[in-house]
Amino acid sequence: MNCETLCDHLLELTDGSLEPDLAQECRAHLAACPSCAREAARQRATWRLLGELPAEKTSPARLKQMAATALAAARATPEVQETDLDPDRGGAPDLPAGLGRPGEPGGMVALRRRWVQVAAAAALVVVTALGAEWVFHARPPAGGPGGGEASDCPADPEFVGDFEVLRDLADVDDSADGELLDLDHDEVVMLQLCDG
Amino acid sequence: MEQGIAPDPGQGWMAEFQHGDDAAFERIVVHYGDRVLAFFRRCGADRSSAEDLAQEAFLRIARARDRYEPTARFTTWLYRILSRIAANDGTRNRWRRATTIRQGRHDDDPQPGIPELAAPHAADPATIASASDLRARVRAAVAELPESQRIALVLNRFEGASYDDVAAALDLSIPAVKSLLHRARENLKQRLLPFLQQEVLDEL
Repeated sequence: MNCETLCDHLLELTDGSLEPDLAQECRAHLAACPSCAREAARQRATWRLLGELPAEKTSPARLKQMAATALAAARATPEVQETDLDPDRGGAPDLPAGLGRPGEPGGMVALRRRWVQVAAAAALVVVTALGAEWVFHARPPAGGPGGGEASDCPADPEFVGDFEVLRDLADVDDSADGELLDLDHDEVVMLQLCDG
Repeated sequence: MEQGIAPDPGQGWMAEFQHGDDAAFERIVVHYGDRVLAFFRRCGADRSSAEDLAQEAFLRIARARDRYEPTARFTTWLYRILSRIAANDGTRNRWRRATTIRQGRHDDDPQPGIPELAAPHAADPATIASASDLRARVRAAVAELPESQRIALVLNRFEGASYDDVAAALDLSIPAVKSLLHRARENLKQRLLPFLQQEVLDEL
């Protein structure tokens, strides 16, 4: 056996998984070749250092809790996602709300991501509404303090602009009763009054 | 090297789980849970991330209730799940490393992101303050390996997965797995050289 052949077998030799006959040949070479002996020693030492990573223990109670969480999540979203099986497709399965780590509401990373998305969408709606309101108030009055249509509205003119913004948004709301916009009763009544 | 994990009761428990026994699923999680967490920890995740990733693994097992087929050992199937989650996570950079990354490295540093290992003059094992210091350096060295090398290494060296199992988990041939492990070891050797020198001297 030469040095190159030994190099090919060194991984399995230091693993202890090499066939006995071949291992014997390798050991004979190592006994006669200080250079290879040193390399083999380095490899064994590398694996020994890896032994410095001890496993940590988790309490059975915590693991049972994780099992219950996984079962509940699987029932809530039982469909098998393609991404479960194909890492190239990216996303990890999300857990439904309320199934996070104890002490950390919605503690799953995926869940946190989802809430960030929801919060960002909500912030966008608020900013859009405020922006529209600013544009409305900045607009020169046409026939009245709140604009032409608002002049006939019985509501306080100071607030007419706010409700016009609401009405504009309500035009997008197919429910026509403010349900999707989560308007309360007074706001819906005010819109109806403004619409005459 | 330990080849495979024995006993491997997961297959039987999975069959019971498929027949409606939720307690069998709990037994799977309790039995393999520490190993699943340790896998992600050794891959470089901090404790919190490792729990998130382990939870994701348990969810995938639970979701596989109806489609699981015992065509291979349970641990082989489990390695496959863990490897894919780890690969996904590394790809998306969602991994929160439990390692200290060197700050202010030079622009010509050939391998940015390599954790700070002690400079040679300070790396004399005689100066290592404690075993935890060495563990931190080893953990950092493993965490900075390329994704596939790290997963193969952790499965093979810590989980005792055979080359066959690692190949099945990573969809690779056995020669490719050996190549990965060889490169992983070479990378580790370079990163841990100061400590290896003393280890080698002790051995020779």
